[in-house]
Amino acid sequence: MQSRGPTQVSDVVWEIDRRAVPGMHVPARIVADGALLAHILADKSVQQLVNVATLPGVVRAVVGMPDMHEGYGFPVGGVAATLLPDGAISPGGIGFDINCGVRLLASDVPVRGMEDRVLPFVHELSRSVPTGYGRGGRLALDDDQLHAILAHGAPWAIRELGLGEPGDAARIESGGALPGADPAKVSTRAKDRGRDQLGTLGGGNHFLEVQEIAEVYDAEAAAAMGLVHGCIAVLIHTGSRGLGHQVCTDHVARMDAALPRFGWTLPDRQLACAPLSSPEGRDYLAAMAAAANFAWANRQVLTHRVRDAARRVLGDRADPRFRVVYDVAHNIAKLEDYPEGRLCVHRKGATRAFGPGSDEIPEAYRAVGQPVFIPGSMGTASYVLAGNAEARDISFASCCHGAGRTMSRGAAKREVQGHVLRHELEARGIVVRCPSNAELAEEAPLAYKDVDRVVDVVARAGIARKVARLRPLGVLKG
Amino acid sequence: MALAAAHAFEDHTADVRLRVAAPDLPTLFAEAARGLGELMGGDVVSGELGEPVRAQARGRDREALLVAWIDELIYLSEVHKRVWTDIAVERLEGGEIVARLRGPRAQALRTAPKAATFHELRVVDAPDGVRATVVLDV
Repeated sequence: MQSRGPTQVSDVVWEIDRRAVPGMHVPARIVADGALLAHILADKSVQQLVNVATLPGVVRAVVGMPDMHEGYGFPVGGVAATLLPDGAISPGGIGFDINCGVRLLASDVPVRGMEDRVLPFVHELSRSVPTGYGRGGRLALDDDQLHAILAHGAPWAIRELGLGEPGDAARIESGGALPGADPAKVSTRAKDRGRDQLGTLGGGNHFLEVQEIAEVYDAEAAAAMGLVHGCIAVLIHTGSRGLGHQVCTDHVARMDAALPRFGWTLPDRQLACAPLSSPEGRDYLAAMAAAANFAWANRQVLTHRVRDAARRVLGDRADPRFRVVYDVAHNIAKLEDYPEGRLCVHRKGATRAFGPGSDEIPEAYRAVGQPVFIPGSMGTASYVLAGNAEARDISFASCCHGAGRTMSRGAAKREVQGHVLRHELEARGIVVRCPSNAELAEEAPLAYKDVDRVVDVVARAGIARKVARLRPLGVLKG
Repeated sequence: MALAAAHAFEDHTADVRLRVAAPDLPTLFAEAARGLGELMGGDVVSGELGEPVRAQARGRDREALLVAWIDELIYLSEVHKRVWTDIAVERLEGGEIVARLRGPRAQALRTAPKAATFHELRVVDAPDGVRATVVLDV
């Protein structure tokens, strides 16, 4: 299906009318300024968004975020909501890395006077956090433990394994555990893959970054979130590892095989889906929830590692405690209530952004709105924002998850030499721990959109408002 | 003249597109496996190939079978901590493939694919053999 280009409907919102392409049930909207739209139009992401608008049960509009780029099936940076009970759930609308997400930790450790401790801190983290493929974490789970993690997520890891503080879970999306998770719906293969991966970062664009809270834009929100200007923060980006990948693989295959039974035709086979009310739909939702719980537990273990490293390296000179600011998922489906009814909101490369007053967010943030994180590419700024109530109308209370790729990994490696980039970052005082220069080049800033522009568009759209800017001090890459 | 078995990688914004060509379907699947091995390990992997590991996959059509095959290779690679370089397809019929794999232990992987996708998936007969395209999530 081909579509004409989008038309501008407001300052930073563009739309493809539902009548533009046969099969669309709703319009396709894109949140972007002109420059970002030019990037978006350069790949197939708009066509993919149009395809998503054909999913059975989709309501209101499908939405592309300012960092949207071509994915497989769904675009990355895409949001779509389907109506229960019989609307579609599509595992590709969540992604293989179920509950890939970001957690921000904050401290009262001032950067000034601790500059000589940044390198040792990153070094200690690199020793504590396994990266790359196949290297086991320090936690090898037995069957009962794995079952419990899948069922109960981060709170279980905190309570039973001592890997956190009692207040942590309240600062994690959904309390760190989704209801309805069923370990029995997670295959033996998925469990085999995840059994020794808890507490690991994984490869690709996953990272652990030590940052300084360099600028505060909203003092009230920053105070509520515990963000202190000039102090050290740590951002963790990882997901459900091989376990989540296998869950998606298993259920895409199952839904692809079952599709003829539903009488649905899809413009892209990767959009394989099933009615939420069907056994396939219910089983996937239960397995997805279990994999999401694994990911939250994974980020909880990494939080514990950060705290340990901070005590060892920073503790003689400052209060080394790190607190959880918040933890957001950016590949997930959530059942949420909107004027249209009970919806299954697919967020692929997109996060929630609930506004003030929402009971979906921790009580500590209900006056200011949910923390939203937009990490930049390596060496660039990351941002903390607060969700606005208007986001419910604009994007099903959703925001983008980063800066979004503009360039393939191959093209990035042709443009950038990894060892040169490493030297450039180090010359700017950024400590880099990455096992491969090639991988470093793949994640070069020029392969991504301008995060400052992406954040500006999010604010102009009314989805979320800026709270703080974080600058990188050191990065550990998978 | 029959197609020579070959594979190549193409740019994709966030993922990798693998193109494979071969004189027949079993050779195509073996070549896809070699392509995956090259993507994962590159030149950094070396060492003994170990005992053979049995691989098996099923799919309702050739395209689904190719996805299932690559996913089987990824799964076995992850649990055995090996990259498959020696592939012997024993049987490919009736929507099922059975093969024996050997390969060295994985050290620093160059790329760790998450899975094969159905996106733009093609298995196409040609006068001189068969060609396939598959996008891998990396």
